[in-house]
Amino acid sequence: MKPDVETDTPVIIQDELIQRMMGSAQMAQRMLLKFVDASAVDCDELESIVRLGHTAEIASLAHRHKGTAQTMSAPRVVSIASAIEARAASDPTSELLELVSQLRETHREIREFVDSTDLNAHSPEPSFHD
Amino acid sequence: MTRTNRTNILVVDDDPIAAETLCHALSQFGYATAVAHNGLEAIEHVRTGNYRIVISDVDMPKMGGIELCSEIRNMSTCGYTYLILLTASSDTESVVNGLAAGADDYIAKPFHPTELQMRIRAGERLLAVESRDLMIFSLAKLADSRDNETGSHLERIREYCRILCTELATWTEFKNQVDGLYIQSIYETSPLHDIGKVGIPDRILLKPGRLTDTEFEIMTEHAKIGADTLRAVASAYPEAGFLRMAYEIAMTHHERWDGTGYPNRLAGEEIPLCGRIVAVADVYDALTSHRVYKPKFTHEKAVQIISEGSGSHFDPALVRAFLQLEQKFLEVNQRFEDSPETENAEFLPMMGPIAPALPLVHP
Repeated sequence: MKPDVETDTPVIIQDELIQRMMGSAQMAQRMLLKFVDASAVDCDELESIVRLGHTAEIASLAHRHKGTAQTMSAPRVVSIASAIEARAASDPTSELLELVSQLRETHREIREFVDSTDLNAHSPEPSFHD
Repeated sequence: MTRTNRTNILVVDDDPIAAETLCHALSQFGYATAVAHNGLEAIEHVRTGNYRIVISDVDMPKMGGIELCSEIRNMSTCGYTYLILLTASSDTESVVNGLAAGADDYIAKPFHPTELQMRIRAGERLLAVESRDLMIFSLAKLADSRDNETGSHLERIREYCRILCTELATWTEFKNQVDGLYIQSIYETSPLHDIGKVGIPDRILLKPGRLTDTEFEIMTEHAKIGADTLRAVASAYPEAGFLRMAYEIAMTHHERWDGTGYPNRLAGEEIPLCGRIVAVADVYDALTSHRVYKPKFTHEKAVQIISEGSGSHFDPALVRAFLQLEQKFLEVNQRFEDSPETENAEFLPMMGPIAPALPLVHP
């Protein structure tokens, strides 16, 4: 019961994220913190509706979470959220709860990443047209 | 990198992180942004008229992006709204549904900043073309306002032209000439047909009574004045191909099929097709409009007069087309009907000696 994600996949693809933030490491850092904070609420809500068996709501919330994770260049979160979305109607509650648990764990890693990483040190040169 | 753009962009997304990230990128490109969290909120923003470009997510509560596209396309706004959908790259169904609902483009999520910028520039180019069309129409309105302050003459003329051309595009003898571009060009440029009236003195243009022969000769100069102006502009800007049609319309819309019109007494197919088309549209509108010296004719009477002008005043093929489409002309006439208080705003001279067959149609 694992989503399709490589074990060596980074929790955050820094260069891609900073480029999306128009070269601003500060902005990337701020948005990552927002993402982690919001994810706690999302995970609680996901767990709640999984237990209630509201499959449409599970798929919808997982879909939105996946979109946010794509914006934040968080491929492992994308993979888990995608699995929850796809399996919302078919998998038993226990397996969905296991996926939610993996989601929480991945967000914990992202929090550690944010706390321990100086994104400024990895800022790529922005390459945009004027 | 940063520059100041005048375009305001509305971002529609229920995900605050995605919305803020997108707004940040747009602000770095110099755009001003606002955020709506669903389609219903977006509609309220679009109604203000401040947002010409909308970038919307697809899946949102209350009203999603595809329904938003439909709603905006059904709204009466003063200008075109360029719609870009944000979709997952694999979501072909959403892309197809979105384009069918009126979206202009889509950006795959998560967006790439340079792609985002290029997509928006494409939208700005389209909006600039619309601005050009508005400018043309504004100039035509300005010229028309000298003798027709608040009427909808120009709105009707271009609609009549479009209706005729849409029909002609299906006819064997015209379909090689009349295509989508031709129809769009005549819609845009036909309002310029009388722009030369700016060169006619007020004492003649606004004279309520009959014109003398000399005055009428001066009045007929408006076709040449307008055409010369448009030809000069067309020469200076040869890439603006639509000006060629504008020139031909201004110069030839008072020519007659039998060669008794003005200014060059062209006959038959010597008269460019666009001039022959505008002739029918212009005369129908003159007949069905109020003048200080006559009430407006009924639609039926106008149809009869144009029918009788087949082969003399008008190209017989165009009269055939007109007779097939006369109900559509009536619908446009009613849709853009001048209000009673504007009907006396016109002070138009009586008909001169060149086209006696239609005595109530002036130059």
